[in-house]
Amino acid sequence: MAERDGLLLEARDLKVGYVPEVNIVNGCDVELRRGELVSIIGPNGAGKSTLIKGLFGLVPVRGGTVRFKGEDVTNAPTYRLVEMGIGYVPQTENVFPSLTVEENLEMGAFLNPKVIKDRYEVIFEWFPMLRDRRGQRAGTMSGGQRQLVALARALMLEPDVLFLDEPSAGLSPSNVDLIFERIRFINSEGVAILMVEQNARRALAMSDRGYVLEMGRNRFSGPGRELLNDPKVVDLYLGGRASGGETAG
Amino acid sequence: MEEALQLIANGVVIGSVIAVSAVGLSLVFGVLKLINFAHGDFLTLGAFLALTGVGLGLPLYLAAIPAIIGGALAMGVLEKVLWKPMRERGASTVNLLIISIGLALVLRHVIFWVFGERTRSYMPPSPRIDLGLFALTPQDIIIIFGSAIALVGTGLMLQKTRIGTAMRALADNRDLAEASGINVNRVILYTWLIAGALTAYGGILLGLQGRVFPNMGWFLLLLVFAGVILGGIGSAYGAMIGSLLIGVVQELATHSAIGLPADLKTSVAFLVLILVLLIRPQGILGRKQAL
Repeated sequence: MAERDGLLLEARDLKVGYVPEVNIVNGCDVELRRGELVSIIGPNGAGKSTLIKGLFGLVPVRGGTVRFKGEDVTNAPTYRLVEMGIGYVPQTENVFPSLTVEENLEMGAFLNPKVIKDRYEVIFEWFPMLRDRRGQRAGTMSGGQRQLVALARALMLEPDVLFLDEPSAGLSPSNVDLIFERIRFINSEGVAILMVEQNARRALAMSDRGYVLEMGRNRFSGPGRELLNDPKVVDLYLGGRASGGETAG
Repeated sequence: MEEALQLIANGVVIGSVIAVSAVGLSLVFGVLKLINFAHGDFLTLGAFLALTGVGLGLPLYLAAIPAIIGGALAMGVLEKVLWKPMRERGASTVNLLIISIGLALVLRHVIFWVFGERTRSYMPPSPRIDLGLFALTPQDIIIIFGSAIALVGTGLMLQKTRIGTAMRALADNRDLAEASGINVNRVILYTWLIAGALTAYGGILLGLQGRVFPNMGWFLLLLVFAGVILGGIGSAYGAMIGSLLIGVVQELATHSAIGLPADLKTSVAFLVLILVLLIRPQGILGRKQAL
């Protein structure tokens, strides 16, 4: 089945879990179109990270289907998904600490080393700070710098889609601004982004669409701005209008 | 002073043998987090494969080639038929450790069965050559240079090749390596092949240093572990330094000024190991995760 209507990723009735017979994700639907930026938000334990890991083949999918570019990729090995055009940035431990910045990027292009030199130029243009630190070990860098290395590594094979698992977690406010700004830029370059994020207000504000997860199921979905202004979503997940809380948990 | 220099030279010889052996063990541990107790018996296998070639009339340097290839293939085949299936079944670290002990026993008994208990050598002993400050046999000199070539080659492989970088990446974070699109199983197979080649080579150097007998690798294994731990578990470069240090320390312990019987020299090496680890628990070059 070929890709239709720019639909890159389509997950239907997805069930994902770690422990036998306990599904963390229990019947989720997710769609991602070319060039879109889509956020997944929800309270702690809603299954957001598990959902993205299931989509990327890191946690076994027990039910439902995942299609990428029209092809069934349910439980496909991760290197196959990388080969097909998906990049992934985990929430924590997302760089190789003993490798230099350049070696981290090289590992992002392991499947197609011919592109490395050309991609270095693009990546260093997008992340100028990394050019100056290309020989530095990633383990000696700050949290924000590491997040940039992780984003850059995931972009080495020119993916169509980037999966981001809580890209702002543990970062200082100034680094959060930097990372979100770079995510918007990457998206403006045509890379579709599916992002799990605790910082729900900011995530929805910058997203074309959003999904609100609860207990492993879709609770709400729609354009990011609409969700941000939906009284039910605000009251239940964004800490209420008056509180001005930043996170939905 | 003369005696000390001679002992240091002797230590460098045995340290070189330990270093080549330790680097293979360290590569496997770094990438797979597997403590391979069968490593010593793979040293023996390498030595006996080369001995077979010598028995067929080949000079040792030619007999070493099929022996090294044989060692690499043996570890590569075991990855395919044993280690990979065990990983896929979710075997724990303890399971794998016990399996490696069992594998060591099986391999040793096969070597006993095929080659017998007799102690042999590649060539008759040679007299020492006086090099001014110390004297070494031609075999000792071959061991030092042979080991240096292998260690420098391994270092270059780790730093300059894509597969070496991928090995270091796996040692850092296997899940991230997988998520980055690295074909983890292929990198692991290469790790076993390289470790197998290094181990067989180490076994040949060990045989060149003295005698070839079925327990030779098993007897060296503790010193190899000591070299790996002293250098920093999982650090290939640390294993090189730790091994040389172990070799030199145990030889210096027999200096007449110390007056320790030669039988006890190994225990001194382990005493130094304990002292270093008390001061620096991660070993000389060890980090949390490294290669």
